[in-house]
Amino acid sequence: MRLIDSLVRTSRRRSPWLFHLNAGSCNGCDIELVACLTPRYDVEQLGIRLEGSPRHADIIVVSGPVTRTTRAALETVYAQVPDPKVVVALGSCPASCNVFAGSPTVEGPLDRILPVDVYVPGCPPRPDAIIAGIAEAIALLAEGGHA
Amino acid sequence: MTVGRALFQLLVFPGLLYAVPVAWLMLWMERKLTARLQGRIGPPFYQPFFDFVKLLAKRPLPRPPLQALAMSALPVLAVAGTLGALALLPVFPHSGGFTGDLVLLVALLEIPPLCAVLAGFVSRSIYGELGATREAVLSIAYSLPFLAALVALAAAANSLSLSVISQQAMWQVRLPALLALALCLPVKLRVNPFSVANAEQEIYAGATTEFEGPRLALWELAHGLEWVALTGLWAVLAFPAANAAWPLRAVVFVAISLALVLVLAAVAAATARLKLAQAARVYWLWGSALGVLAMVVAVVWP
Amino acid sequence: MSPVIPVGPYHPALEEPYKIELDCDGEAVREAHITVGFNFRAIEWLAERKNYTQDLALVERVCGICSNVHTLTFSRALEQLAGVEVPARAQHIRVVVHEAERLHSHLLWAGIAAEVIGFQTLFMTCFALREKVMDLLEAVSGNRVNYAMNKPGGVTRDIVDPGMVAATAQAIRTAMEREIIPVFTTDRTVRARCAGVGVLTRDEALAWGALGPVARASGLPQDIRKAAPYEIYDRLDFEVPVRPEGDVLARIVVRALEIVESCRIIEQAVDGMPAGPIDAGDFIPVPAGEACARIEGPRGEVFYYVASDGSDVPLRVRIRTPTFQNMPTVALMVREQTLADVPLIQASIDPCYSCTDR
Ligand code: SF4
Repeated sequence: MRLIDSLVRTSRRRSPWLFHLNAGSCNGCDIELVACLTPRYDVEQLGIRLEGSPRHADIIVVSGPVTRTTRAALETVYAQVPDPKVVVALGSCPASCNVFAGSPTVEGPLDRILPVDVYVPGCPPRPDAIIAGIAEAIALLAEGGHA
Repeated sequence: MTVGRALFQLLVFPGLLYAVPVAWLMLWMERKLTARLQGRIGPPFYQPFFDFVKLLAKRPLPRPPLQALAMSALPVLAVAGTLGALALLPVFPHSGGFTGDLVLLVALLEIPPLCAVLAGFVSRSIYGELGATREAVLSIAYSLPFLAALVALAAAANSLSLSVISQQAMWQVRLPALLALALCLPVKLRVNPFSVANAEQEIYAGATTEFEGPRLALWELAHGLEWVALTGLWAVLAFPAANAAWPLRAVVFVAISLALVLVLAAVAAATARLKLAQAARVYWLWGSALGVLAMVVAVVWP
Repeated sequence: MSPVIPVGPYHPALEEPYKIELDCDGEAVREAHITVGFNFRAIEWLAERKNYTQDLALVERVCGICSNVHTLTFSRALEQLAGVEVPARAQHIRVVVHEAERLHSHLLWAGIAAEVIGFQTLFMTCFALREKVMDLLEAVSGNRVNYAMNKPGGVTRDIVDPGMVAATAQAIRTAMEREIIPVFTTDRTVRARCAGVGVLTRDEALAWGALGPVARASGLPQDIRKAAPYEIYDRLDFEVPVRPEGDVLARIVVRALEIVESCRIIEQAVDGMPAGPIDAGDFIPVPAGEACARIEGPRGEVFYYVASDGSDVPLRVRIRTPTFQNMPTVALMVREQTLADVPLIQASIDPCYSCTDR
């Protein structure tokens, strides 16, 4: 059992698949996340893949201050990701609503809606910081994500 | 073919024990080569293995019982079908086989695409259904050249036994037939320029969009095994040396399979995805031309 | 098969949430309906409640891809209200950053277009080249995205190493001409996917008010940099590429040629950069009145209207972005095309929904 346990833990560490959800972001964070896939940063080395379907994902990356119209989608997607899963808040927007705080159409910050495990601050964070944040999420994932 | 032999072929070589690690190896090679061609470093060697284990260890989402059953059974069936096809490959021609195993092989190879089509419909997602429809349309398009090539070989060898076919030289038939088969490989393996059925930017992951965790793991495995089986079939047909010693045959078989993976990955990396109609046309036109050519040669060339 | 296929609001081909619903007949599209508003953050509402300095940071975040365009237009509107002349050096720096942003935006778009037609390798090539532009922008502004370069009356940072900027622009131009343009224009699978797809005729483009590269790919030679030159554009030597075909391939070619032109503009702007101040000094709050400003963003004309009552909070800020104008043409272009073309066609206008929704 111990062996299987450690094998599972290692494989979770080595194969985190992301689903990215734009909850009303300005694109700044999104584009930096895409930059992580490209030759200079190439996160595929770490086994990281950006998946199109939430059902394939382990880590949900949310950018944007959560607008009223994206909230329902956020909740659906969260339910569609099989356990164990981890939520990463990408950028200042999901953390604090950033410059959009006080807007009548913004329902963030994200932790009002989903349990957030990792915050990656910055407007936008650099790709290096995003990768560091994902690495943090991976460590949580290996331990079984949040309950 | 004795029971012992059959079991050996199914479970050891070129079946389970050989095929599963090689499936992972091929999936890795494809991703790695693509990454290298794109100026990236790419995934580490063990990547497909860890992907598989991780997916297995995920908790499946709750689903209605009947759907859950179907969604679990289909990928299992796909894996089993491909393994069966692998076991029939006459890597060692004297190791048996039976008359008509060619027909069985063709049938078994059709199981994974069929399962994928059903999977798309069972999962009740619009994208799954679209992927399934595309899969179905394509399988009609590539079946003609694929079958024509095999039938031409069978006609030329005057036998429906794979091991007989794989031993006779008949290069005049074999060449066009091999070309036709090679043309069918990218679409059967769903790679560029014919990755229409799983076109991510159009329909997510196609038929497997709704699959999660262990069920998805099995699909990935089935996909890897398809790589092994199809490149293996091509490798067997491309090396018709009747009296080569068995170690040589085994080595050549593996070498040709792996080389083919590299070629397919390189082509995939250098092309864009065609549209359904364009892809189908390639097969109707070029694929069928090659297949028909092989058939004509098989009939008129004594 | 179900007749209505929803694409979005979350879909791998869409960079941002928005929705196209397609009435389909098999793989053929009969009719398309577009829904936007997922990114609506009420920025104009917020802008009327924050002071001008805060608004500068706010409009920068209308869009993370063309952030500089927003601060530039906003600053120009304020300068107009106050009747302030921007120092020559600041104008040159503004043009450098403005064009560098066009470079990164177009390269980003070229990458996305390649990705959408399943050409992963080309996507990677474009993004690898884009990193060079990002380095340039970072060297000039200190940021990779959201540069915070413009302020009313000038720019916030000087260009300390003009040689490096010119050299980078030249390197990008060479790479573009050697590596990327040939693939887009000659690769057979790319041509098979793009030529003759999603055609927007010249008349349609005119009638639907298309802007920017979309209009120029349909044979309309319109570009604010030529039509109503701002900053130093009237003194620069550059071409505005126009293609008559109106299909996706034409849009690709127009943007690719624009990248080459932008590199030339940067080289010229750096070359002729005079010494002097980079800032006209503080003039906020601006006197009462109203002003409009428009400039040519990467996606087309960006328009700002600012009304002031003389206090430090604007009365009204109105933002009209090019995607707002171009988006309806998608519904026109996808008609009678196949489902597989829809992601490409919607991507071909280089949509920016965070701009459109604001
Ligand atoms: S944190 Fe900044 S860059 Fe990221 S989405 Fe929000 S405003 Fe844009």
